[in-house]
Amino acid sequence: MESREGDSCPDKSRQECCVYERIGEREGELKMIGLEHYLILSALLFAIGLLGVVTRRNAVIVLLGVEIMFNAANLSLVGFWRFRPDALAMTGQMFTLFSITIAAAEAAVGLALVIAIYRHYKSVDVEEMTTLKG
Amino acid sequence: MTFAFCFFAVVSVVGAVCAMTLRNVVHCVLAAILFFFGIAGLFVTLHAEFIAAIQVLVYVGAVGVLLALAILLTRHITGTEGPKETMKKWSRGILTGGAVFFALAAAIWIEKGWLAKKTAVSTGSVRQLGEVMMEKFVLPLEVVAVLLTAAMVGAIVIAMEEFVKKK
Repeated sequence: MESREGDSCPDKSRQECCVYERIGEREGELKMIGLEHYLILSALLFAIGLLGVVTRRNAVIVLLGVEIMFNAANLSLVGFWRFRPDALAMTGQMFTLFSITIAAAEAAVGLALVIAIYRHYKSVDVEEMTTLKG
Repeated sequence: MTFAFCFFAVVSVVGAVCAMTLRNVVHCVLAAILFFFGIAGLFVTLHAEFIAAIQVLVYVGAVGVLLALAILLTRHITGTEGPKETMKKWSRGILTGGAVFFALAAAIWIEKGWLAKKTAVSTGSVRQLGEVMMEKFVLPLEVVAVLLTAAMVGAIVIAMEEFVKKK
């Protein structure tokens, strides 16, 4: 049977589907940016997005904050994919692709809601949206 | 590599901070587009070129335009009018964001030794990505396609509701 790429990848470390580069063996030669740098940056961006979500009163900017948090999570997913070659092939990138798709769907529905609410209240202030029934 | 990471990290952090703090809503969206470009650059430094291209297409192209249109449709054309935040709200927001950042950073700091061992890197071509997508992830792919269709129909229905009622 012809072995399918991707499925049997994690068992055998030297296959075409996962090309590993060992940079740890040349330790000391070059100071590389590691996984922790990407994770710290991701945490910082997530915190900035959260700050905007809890602070801003314009509904469009609140949605923008949610998008920034999505992007921070995507960054850490791709970072984990890059620095964990023993993980399943391309899984991190696939997760990120699905995450981007869902973020796009969320943005479309969220902005449609903002427009519907604006028509109703003549305002995009999230602090004025206090009733469940229009 | 190090320079590219630092450059794109600064670009994305500056973009994110400006997008969240600027007074003018239109400027916020422009800063967010800068942030999306910075994240795309970081994806390139991680050797995820396809994700970077998709990032530019979806976020800079689609979401950026969508946000700009939403601002125009809600009549914030000049972008400066609209609700203002109080200093109390800002301090609470900074407190919340700072607490979350320090919690995450503490978790990363504790696992620093484990993370430092992860020096081997994986690379993958777009071809492998396509093969994985068509074999292993084919069911999630179809589910996401249905979700996108549902979201599009839902967005149209939600935005058109009042218009239909008037007729």
